[in-house]
Formats: sequence, structure tokens, C-alpha cells
Amino acid sequence: MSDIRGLLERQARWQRARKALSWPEKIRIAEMIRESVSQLRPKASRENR
Amino acid sequence: MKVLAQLLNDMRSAGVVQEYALFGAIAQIRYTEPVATIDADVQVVVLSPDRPDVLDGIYQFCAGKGYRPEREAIGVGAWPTQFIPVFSPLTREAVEQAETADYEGVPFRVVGAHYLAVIALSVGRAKDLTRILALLESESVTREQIARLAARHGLSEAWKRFESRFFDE
Repeated sequence: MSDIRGLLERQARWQRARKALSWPEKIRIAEMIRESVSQLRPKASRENR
Repeated sequence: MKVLAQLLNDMRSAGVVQEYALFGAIAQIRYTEPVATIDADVQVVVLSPDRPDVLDGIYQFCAGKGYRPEREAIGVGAWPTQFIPVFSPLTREAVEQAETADYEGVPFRVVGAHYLAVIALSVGRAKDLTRILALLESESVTREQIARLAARHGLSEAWKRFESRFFDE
């Protein structure tokens, strides 16, 4: 249980750190997320056929 | 995104739109941690919103700057951008009351957090409800601010349902 609590606390700290980034920096991260998702989507749709 | 900010400011100066404001996920990211999104959403106030070719002027202006349609959006730099005329008193007010952010030296009008939350409440899809929770969690808006704005736009019942679903034990 303490491991899970520690994991959640680390995750919360990481999320707070990302929230504190500047807006342009966060948008650049969103661009990277979008790029990753777009690369996964065709693969996922092929695997689900 | 800086390219989009410059384009929108130019569009307003040229009188193609009366006013604009960024909304949706890209606006949300100003307040929360980054989220996945495919495109940028811009609300616009135009002179003749009832005309069927309401977006023609925007498309022509973008084409003149070298930005071309990509499906239902226009490709502006890295972002497919959707232009959506204001569609309710709430969205019109959100654009009128938008904040002017500084985006790497360029003024960029963005819908405020409490308007983002109440627009999301009015749309009501799962991802919209997630947006409200993210905005609340970021402390960029309070439940009281949402309640007041929702009440002014006839959304008190929707807000009560939201609070009951997510906050009542």
C-alpha cells in the first residue's frame, strides 16, 4: 500500500510540475503527444482488423 | 501556435472577423497540464453569421496567406485550425470577455477558464466533463464561479447534475 501511495505522490508531483510549465511549452508537449498518437492510430487500427 | 496568433490578429485588423478567441483543448492547456488534441479551435464573431457562406471570408484570407484547407480545418503552422462562429449568447460573451495572453511576444486572445468550463458544461460530452474537472483541479476556476456563470446562461440544472455526479457522496 505504501508503494502505491508513494507512486501516486510522485505522479501528483510530476503532474503539478507539468502544469507549472509556460503555455507555449505545454503546447509543444501537446504537439509531441499528438504526433505520438497519430503514429499509434494506424498501427492500432491494423491490429484490430 | 505563434503563427496562428499572428494570423488571427491580422484577420481581425483586416475586418474579416470582428473578434476571435481561442478555446477548446489548446485554451485549456493554458491552465492545466498538457492534454492530447488533434486541432486548435477558434471562435469567431463575424458580421453576417446567418449566411451559409459565413466562413468563406476566413478561408479566402487564409488562402491568401498560403494556408490551405485540411479536411474540415485549415492548416496553420503545426496546427489544423477549426473556425467556429459563436453559436450562443454564452459563446459570444466568452469571446467578448476573452483574456489577451502573451504568446512569445504576440497578443493572443483566449477564452477564460470559467467560460471554458461552462461551455464544456453546455456541450456535455465525456471529454467536456473531463475538461471541467481538469480546470477545477488546476484551481484556475472555482465551483462558485462556474455556478454563477451557469445560472446566468440557464445551465443551473446541468451544473447541479455535474456536482451531484462528481462531488456528492
